Amino acid sequence: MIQFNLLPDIKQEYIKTQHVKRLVIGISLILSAIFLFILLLLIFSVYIVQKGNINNLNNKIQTDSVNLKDKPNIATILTVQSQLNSLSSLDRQNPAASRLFNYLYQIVPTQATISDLNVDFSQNTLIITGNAPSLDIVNAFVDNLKYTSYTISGESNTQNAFTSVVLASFGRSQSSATYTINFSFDPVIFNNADTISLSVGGNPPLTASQQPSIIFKKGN
Amino acid sequence: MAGMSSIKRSLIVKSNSTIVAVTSGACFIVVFCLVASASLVNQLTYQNRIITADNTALNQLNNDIHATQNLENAYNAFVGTPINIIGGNPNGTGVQDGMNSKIILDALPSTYDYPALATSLESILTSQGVQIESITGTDETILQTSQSSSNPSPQPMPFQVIVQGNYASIQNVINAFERSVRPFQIQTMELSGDQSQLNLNITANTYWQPAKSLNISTEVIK
Repeated sequence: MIQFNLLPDIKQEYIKTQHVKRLVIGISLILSAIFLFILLLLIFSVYIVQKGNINNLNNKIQTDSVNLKDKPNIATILTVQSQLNSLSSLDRQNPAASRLFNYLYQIVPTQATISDLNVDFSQNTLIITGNAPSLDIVNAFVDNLKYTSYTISGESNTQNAFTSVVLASFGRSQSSATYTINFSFDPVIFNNADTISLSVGGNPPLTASQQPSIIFKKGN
Repeated sequence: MAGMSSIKRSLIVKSNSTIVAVTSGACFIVVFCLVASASLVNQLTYQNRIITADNTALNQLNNDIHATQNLENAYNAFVGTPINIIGGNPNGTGVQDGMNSKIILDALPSTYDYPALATSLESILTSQGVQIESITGTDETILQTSQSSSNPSPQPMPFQVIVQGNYASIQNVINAFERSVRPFQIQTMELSGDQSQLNLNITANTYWQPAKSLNISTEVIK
């Protein structure tokens, strides 16, 4: 069957234009509505929901901060806690200087005396100046220092207590010898957290009767 | 017929104009919405960061409030003991008496007080039966600020003492420094002389530490 389009061209064009017009307006309206909806949603989230949330949180923070600051005695309590923590660490850093006297009894030969002793706990060095009846005793003193080891209580390994032992000067007169010995010590031997036992030349610690009665004596 | 065609033509032209106007309007709205949305998304992200930070701060505050309650209980137990940490009476007035909090603040004062240190040193040395040759140091009151801090650390107060005494009393001096509740860190020590008359020269540090304060700070979120 043959169909004839009897509409004039202008009419056809007009209908087509109307169709396009409706399509364009429809799509434009839908797109505009979608984008406006998204924009309104964002505005609602940013300026109403989030702002409200932030204000609410800030108020809570403000209230809790005031509660915390207003706690009675809080400054004193915090200060005492802080001082206590520091005291523990300061105590651990304190060298147990009183051990020096026991160590001296162990390392100084019976016949030798000390006229001057300098300890530097920050540099871990010791300088001992003194007298002895002969240079043999001075030599024995130096050897004592070189071969003195220590053990930490509860541990089995031994370590050298003194290093860099140097007979810095010595002299011999008719009656006696003088000496100055410089050496470094392992700071562990003055660590107040450990119990240390010295072993001089591999020998056990001297008993009270074997220890020298006089250690310090002015030089000649 | 020609008139009819002219009307249709003008209607087509009008429709085309309407299409252009509507498309332009829609484009403007879409572009405006896109630009505004981009700005709002930035604002949304930024405010989200603020909310996260606020929540963290609030949680921290709640934890701190809970911790201070525990701390307060611990402190009350610490100061409420019938015998203080050095074996004295908390309510007494003797040398070893006083509440634990006072003993701690005497051991590590929260203010710089050099004259008090000198008095304390004199008292320690005198009680060991030695002759005090000198107690020296530098009072740095002007340099040391006693302002509280949220993270205080011990500040050294260097001093030097020279005393004379027999071997036993010199030993006692060293022991007294070691046993003191106030930390005395001996830096150098020089002993010279005879067993019966020894000279002891000590350079040492003791410490003070500024009071701790509660620091609630504000933070700028970028």
